Amino acid sequence: MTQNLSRLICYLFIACALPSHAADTVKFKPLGAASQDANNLPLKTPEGVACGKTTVLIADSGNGRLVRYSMVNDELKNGVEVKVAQVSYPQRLKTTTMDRTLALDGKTRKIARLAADGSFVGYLEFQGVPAPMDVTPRSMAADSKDNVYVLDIQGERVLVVDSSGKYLRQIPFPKGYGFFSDLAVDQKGNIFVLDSTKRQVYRALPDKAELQIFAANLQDSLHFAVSMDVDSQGRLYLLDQNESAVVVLGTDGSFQGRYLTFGWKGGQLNYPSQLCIMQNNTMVIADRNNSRIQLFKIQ
Amino acid sequence: MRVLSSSLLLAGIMLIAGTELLLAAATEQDFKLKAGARGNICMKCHSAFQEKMARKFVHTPLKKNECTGCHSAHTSSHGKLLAQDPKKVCNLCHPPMVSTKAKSIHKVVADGDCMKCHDPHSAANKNNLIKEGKQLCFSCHKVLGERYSKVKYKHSPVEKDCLTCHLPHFSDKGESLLKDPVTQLCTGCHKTDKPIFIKKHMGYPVANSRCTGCHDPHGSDNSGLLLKNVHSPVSKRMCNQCHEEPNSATPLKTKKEGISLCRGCHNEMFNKTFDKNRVHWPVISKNGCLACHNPHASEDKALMRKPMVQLCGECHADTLKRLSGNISKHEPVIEGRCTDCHDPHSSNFMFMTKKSADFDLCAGCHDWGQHSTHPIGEKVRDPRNKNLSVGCESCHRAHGTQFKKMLNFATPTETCIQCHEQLRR
Repeated sequence: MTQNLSRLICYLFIACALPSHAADTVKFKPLGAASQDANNLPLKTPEGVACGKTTVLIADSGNGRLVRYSMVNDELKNGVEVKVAQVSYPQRLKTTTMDRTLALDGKTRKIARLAADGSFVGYLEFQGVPAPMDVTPRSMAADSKDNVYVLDIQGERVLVVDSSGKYLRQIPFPKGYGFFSDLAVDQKGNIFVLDSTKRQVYRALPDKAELQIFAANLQDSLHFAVSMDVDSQGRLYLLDQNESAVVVLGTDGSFQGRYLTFGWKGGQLNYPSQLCIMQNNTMVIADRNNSRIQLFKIQ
Repeated sequence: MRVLSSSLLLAGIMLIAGTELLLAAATEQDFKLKAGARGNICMKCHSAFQEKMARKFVHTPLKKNECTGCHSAHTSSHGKLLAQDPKKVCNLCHPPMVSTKAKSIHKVVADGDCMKCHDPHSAANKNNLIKEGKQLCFSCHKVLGERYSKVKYKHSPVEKDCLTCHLPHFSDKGESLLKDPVTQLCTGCHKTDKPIFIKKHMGYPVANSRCTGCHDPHGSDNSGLLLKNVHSPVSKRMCNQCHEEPNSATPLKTKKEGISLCRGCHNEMFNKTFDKNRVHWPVISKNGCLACHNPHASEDKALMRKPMVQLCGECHADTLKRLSGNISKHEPVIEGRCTDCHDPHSSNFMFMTKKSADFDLCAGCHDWGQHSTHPIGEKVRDPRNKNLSVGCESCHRAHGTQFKKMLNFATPTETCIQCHEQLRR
């Protein structure tokens, strides 16, 4: 009894002595990959990936199509081809509620709204947006209310519209930014914006209309990140395309670790272009230049 | 208590003052030299200094025979028996030459390389400068000097002295060590209300515009000192092709915003650009064409704002940094010819390449069939990943690597066993 008590005290002491961010430390366990659809047609340079509750939609960009997989026992199964004429070159995907998807088309540079089965619902038509009227989306994200956040590189702003495209508000890009590639919204409504060239992350608090630096000084650990997602605990996962790695930031923006490496073999990445995180903590990466989708369990 | 504190303070002051006096006395009696020996004793061996002493401008310590002002007579931790680090020795007497408010600092000053411009002993030129006027500047700024010597039209102040416009150490007013911001500096001589000025600028109110957007402040082969490459409407003096009329309320405003303006003339290029799957994001960002191009004139081809590698490197700094560590580099990369392989506007291929990077792009210059008997091509699958075919990039990296022949791995053997694992020893 005394021995157990002293062991417990010892554990408590160690727990208190650990750095505050230790709880944010993660490990990635490779779960496998998907490299073809159900008809054995290989994926070709997939650039986008959207995580649903039980499905994963892939932008199979090189083949000009979408592929919808079911997630079964941590494996991607039954890749069904979805051809959408209005999205001839899908580049980036983001999930909304009810497993619906927003798809950015490289050719038209428009955001398409897709139903749960991947079929085309319509383009996101912006209404009541203040000048400049032309919106050029680089990326987008959706919150729990299905409001859409658009990274408008023409208007230098994050545009917030409802699911039908009706204007709600806008947040201007901060002075001195480099080039923004992606944005994410967490469960609390914080908006995160990724600056690829300045290698930093900005954040706008839910009730604020100003982007402020959230994570900076990442020069040594981040090279050219292009995609970002946030997990259920509020940690940020940045996909470093040019160095084929994932960098994890804690809830306070602190650097938590750098994972994965360049290569062709399983578990390695070759110029990946988008990642998303499922509710069961499975990270899905569009491993673009390896022409496959890779899965990792976040532990 | 208060008396005690005051006494201590007084004692401290006296101690410091006494030390100063002692040091002064020591200076006078340095090394216990005989009367009149100071300095002269150095010259007995360093006789070549007689020639230096005869020059027009002699550094004060030398003039006073105080060689020990800069040198230690017996030993030193620095070269030439200097009394201090060469980059700091001048600061023994001269205060730092850089203001905390400096907008631009001469690199040699920041590096503490005073002797790149000044002779520490004597010189034929004022301020002990090792050369006179622009000759001194051009001894480092060689490219500019060579270009200046060849241009047809020379800006007269340059002929006189670079210091007409630039400061030698730092500037707290302008970039590039300019005495004032560009426009203010130029309009100091070129009066904008003179009829000839107004006529040359087609009546547009350019008094507050940045002159170096069109003009080379040093010299040019184009009349009016226009930069090497001039946008056609500018050279034809058709400013109103892009801008509103000079007598309008907003004469400098462009007739259309962003890329719509450029599209008016460059429509064919735009159609080609937007017909492809992947547009280079800066093209459709707020700055549009101006993200990379100067609308009026440029020293670089295609009216690029900067030399290509610098321009691309503004965003792709990580790529340039990686290249700096490579021992093998692709020739176009070495020469900064990014657009040999990449289309800066749009592409149907990854990395914005002009052709597929698997084979076609490389085959434009390299006959890969000649250098390797290894199976290669669309039908040859990569054993590491069956979704990939074996191409040039299976073994090489396009920009270069830290290994020979731009290989991904240190040796040919290590490269081969990536796929041929059965041959691993």
